[in-house]
Amino acid sequence: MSKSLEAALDEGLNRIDARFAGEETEGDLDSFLAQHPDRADEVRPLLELAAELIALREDVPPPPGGLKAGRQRLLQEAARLNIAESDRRVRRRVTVWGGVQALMRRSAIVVTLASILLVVLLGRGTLAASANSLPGDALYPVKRMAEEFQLVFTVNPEAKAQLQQQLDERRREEARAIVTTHRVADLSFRGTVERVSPDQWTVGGVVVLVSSDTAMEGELDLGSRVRVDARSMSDGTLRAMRIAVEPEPLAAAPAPSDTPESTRAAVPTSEPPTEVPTIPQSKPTTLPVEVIPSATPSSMPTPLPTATATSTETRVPPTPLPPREVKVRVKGRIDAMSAEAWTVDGVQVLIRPGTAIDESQAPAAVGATATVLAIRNEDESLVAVEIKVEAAASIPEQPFEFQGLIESWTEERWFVGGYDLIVNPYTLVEGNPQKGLLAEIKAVRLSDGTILAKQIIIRLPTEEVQFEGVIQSMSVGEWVVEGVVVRFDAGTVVEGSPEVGAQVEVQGLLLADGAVLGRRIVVQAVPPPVGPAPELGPGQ
Amino acid sequence: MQPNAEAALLSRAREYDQAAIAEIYDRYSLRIYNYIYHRLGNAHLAEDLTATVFLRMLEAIRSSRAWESSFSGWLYRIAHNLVVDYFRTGHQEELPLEEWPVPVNEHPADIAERSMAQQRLRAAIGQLTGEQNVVITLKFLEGFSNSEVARAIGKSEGAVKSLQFRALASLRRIIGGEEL
Repeated sequence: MSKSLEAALDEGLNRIDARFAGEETEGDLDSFLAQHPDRADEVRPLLELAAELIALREDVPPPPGGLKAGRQRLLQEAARLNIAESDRRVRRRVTVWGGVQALMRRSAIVVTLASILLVVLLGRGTLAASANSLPGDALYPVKRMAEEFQLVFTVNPEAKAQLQQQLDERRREEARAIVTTHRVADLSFRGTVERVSPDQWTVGGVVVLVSSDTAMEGELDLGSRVRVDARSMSDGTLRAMRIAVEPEPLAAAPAPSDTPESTRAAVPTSEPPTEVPTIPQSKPTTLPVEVIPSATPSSMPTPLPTATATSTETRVPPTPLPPREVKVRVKGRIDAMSAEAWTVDGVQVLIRPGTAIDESQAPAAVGATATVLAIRNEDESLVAVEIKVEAAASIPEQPFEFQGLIESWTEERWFVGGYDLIVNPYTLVEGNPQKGLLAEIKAVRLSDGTILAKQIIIRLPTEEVQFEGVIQSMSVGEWVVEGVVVRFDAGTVVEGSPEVGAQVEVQGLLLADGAVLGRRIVVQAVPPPVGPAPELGPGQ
Repeated sequence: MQPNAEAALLSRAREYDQAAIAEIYDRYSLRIYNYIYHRLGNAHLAEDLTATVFLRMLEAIRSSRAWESSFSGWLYRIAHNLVVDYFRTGHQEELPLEEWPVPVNEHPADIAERSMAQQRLRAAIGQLTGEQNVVITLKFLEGFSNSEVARAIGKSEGAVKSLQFRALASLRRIIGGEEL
């Protein structure tokens, strides 16, 4: 097979297409083949086959009626997969986090042993050098280890609580400091929730970014004491990976500190290797409490042992998982709404009587953007606690057509068939409006729900009526003749001088509301003047 | 659609974003329906299989190997595989004759003969390889130009010309073999 053969076939196919389009005749194809005698034997049967195939085109597919159902089915399946994927992510996050915890617990032993060895070998100079280290620094584990010993060997409960507060503040200072370095490192700190917005929280004076990936655990409210596990990014931000409610610290009670490390020190768990107290017992007096020179960093840089440097960047976050209840934040488009449940960003949340729905910024509607704070139940369902509608639905103009009787009209608004229509100078009105006349409306429904009329076609009724009677009352645009309401428009012709009491003949069109649109009204007789009848004297 | 826009759309679809999936469906469902209809000649069946194509798409869209160069080409290949499965099961013999639209003034014998010939031709197309099959259907049954076929399957126009040549030659052999 050569390229020239493919090209000849393609050219022949173009001729066939042109023949089917009526641009060429069969003879043209013959003449084409005659021009390629060396290829004709090979190309002709293929062209004939192609012609048979093209003939199948005449079998035009009927308009599909079932594609909408397929679309609905597809979107339902997508929603299901979306929810399943979200759940899987949460589970994976928890699993990964647990794995990291376990790994870091094991690492903690190495860190601690290495650090003790470091203290023994290098003495206080190294510890002094570690004092200003930040998460991610090689000496940071040494700093944390020293703090841990400081806590463990602080016996007085009040002093222990005070020390814990100092250490918490130090963690927050580290968090504030590390963002200025634009370094990527994991860290954790504790504090009180001071400010909450959809994108960022302020905890203990530290601003962290939150997102849908941030795991929220426990009853999180303003004023809650929380632990934040975060990652500092190269762009100078702190991204919260997990925010969990912490128990309030015991100020003076002889209880273990709530730092991760000291918790493990005071409350033995099923993982004895992580028990920190077992490590320093051999030389408790070699590590005095005042071992951390908080503001006197050594001027001499210390060589960094590799084992310590690579041990860990963030100490163990030992808060037990899973928490009592898991709060989930979902932000996105409202895909569906019912009294029982909403679907937001593909995730279904259940609506309960206690669900707070904030529509101060935008009305709740399908298509609007909302942020949902929900609680995950044991059966994996999500119950919305709070929904804040943040942006209105960007609904495009929707065409809207209907017919109705004209109820009233002004230059700006018409009421037709129960609908309130906005009209503007661009609204095309055909015919003269009259109450009770049928109007065909072509309009668009705007995103705020109002209906803007694009075209109004007024249809005159076709049923003609004719009757005679006395004018009983007259007002602008409307008379009552023999109990029948007769209306007027620009096409109504009145002959004679009408007045109340006059006999008239009415020719008109019967309106849908029973009134008559007068087309021609002829005054036949005027009533005699009102007053006492002339007295006829005798002899007259 | 611009490649970047399509990439963004598909990226959202990978996250099961309903709006993105709806947009994909609205964009491609009629084409896939027409493709399947031309292969089977049955509107109801084409609608059912079109729905299945998109459900298969949803199942596989997160796979990194779902499609390599052309998303629409991938959809056509899914459709092709479904049609092949359909022919493989032999269900096509159950298609009622009245399903075929025919001119009212045609002789019944001619109708039957023509319908059977079309059925044979469609079945023969089903025996082509995936790419050949898609090219034949798009080019001849749906009237795509070479450039349109190339865009749909993510290949060059030269590759399309080669494919159509090989496809017609294969189809001729298949039909010739049946007639023997």
